Amino acid sequence: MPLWDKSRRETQSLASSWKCEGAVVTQEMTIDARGLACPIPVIRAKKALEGVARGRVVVLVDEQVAVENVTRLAGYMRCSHHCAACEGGFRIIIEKPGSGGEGP
Amino acid sequence: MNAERLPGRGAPAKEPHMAIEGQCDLLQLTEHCGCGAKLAAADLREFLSGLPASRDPRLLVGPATFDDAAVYRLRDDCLLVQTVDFFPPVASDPETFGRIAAANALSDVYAMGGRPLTALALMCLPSKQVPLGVARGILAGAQEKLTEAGALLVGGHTLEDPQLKFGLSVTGIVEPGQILSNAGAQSGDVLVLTKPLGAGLTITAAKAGLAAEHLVGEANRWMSALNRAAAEAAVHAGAHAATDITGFGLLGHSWQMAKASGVRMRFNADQVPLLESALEFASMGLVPAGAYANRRFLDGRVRICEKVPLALQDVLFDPQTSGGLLVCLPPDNLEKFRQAAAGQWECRCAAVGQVEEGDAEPRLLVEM
Repeated sequence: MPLWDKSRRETQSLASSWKCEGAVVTQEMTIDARGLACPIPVIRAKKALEGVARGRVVVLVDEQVAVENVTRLAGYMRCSHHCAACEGGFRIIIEKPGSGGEGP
Repeated sequence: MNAERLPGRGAPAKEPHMAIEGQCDLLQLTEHCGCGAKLAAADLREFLSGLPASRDPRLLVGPATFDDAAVYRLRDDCLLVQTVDFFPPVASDPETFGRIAAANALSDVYAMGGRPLTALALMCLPSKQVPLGVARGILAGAQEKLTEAGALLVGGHTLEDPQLKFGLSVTGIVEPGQILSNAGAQSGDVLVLTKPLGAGLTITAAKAGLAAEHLVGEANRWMSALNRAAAEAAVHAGAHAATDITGFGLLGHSWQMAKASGVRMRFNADQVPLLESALEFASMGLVPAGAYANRRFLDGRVRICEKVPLALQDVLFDPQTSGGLLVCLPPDNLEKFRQAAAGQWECRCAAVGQVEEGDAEPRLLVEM
């Protein structure tokens, strides 16, 4: 692991769940990137979004820089997003639409 | 150094420039890269304010004008130029890091219109983590650029330190009457930029394993390039002022020059030369923290037209390492500059804006 990746956690908290909305399966995933300097939150959010066909990725960060960068990534991947302050930082909720919503 | 430690979890391991077999990737040793590690301009101003300024009639250029290097008069015909610059790794391999650090430190002398003579090396080394061959490689890279510049490495100082850092203190001379200070910009001047922007974004993308090798190579080539040809062209073309673009980004350094000169600057954002993929890296959120600090510092000091896309704005705030010169030229001398720089690949001649009258904020205007 890079020396600058001062992860406070042993493992990345990556809670994932599946749910059915009508006939379409959507996925929800949480990435805890608090305590991690950019570009790590962006790398992890990108990986999560690429691994989800359709659904929601929630990214927890604790720096304004990470908020700015992760929301830029969401826009780049044509996902809608919103951000709210939460305990210990910010919660960025990224909604990935189904087919046709892939990043360029 | 064992290879399996690098790159870390979360970073793709397959990019060839990320994991050089059996070697350590210096970029993974640091959170802030190159000039992106500069202390934020706002913090610098805060702790410097109130401290007594050096005053002496022989000190021709000092800290007051946020200049690239100090100029001290030894004799009427002999002006000394002094500067120091060092930072954490900005490239994966030691030689490239050494070349870039040297080109970056030498650049401060060139930005004053001077000629470098001697250099002292500054190195902080975590010797338990990186092999001593890394230190040798860095110095070999630096030596290569110093030789190209016609300057001598005459000594240095090394420290045991948890964070690898390298740079040079460079001493040179400048001809009286040829000093390119930050304070000489005049209304009507054309603004010429000599290297493309986007180095900070490309380094961040490289660190993330998201930059193709040829893009990193191109950024490294530009960062390793000496600003000598640009400085010679600027002096030849009778430039009024010049500065080199480093950690405060194009807009941060332009603001310092505009403030020191008591003028306003208007930029045409679509004329600014960019490294390939810089805009894409910005859109992807690979924007270094320093770019946000630069944007914050310039809040109220720059007015950006809403037609300028966010990604392009990010590039204008992007901290550069060993960036090009921003030269203020009388417009009639632009052709003279162009001819002097012709055939020198290290010196672009991009007219990116002009200097106007006005000594009030916002003193920078960015249009499209």
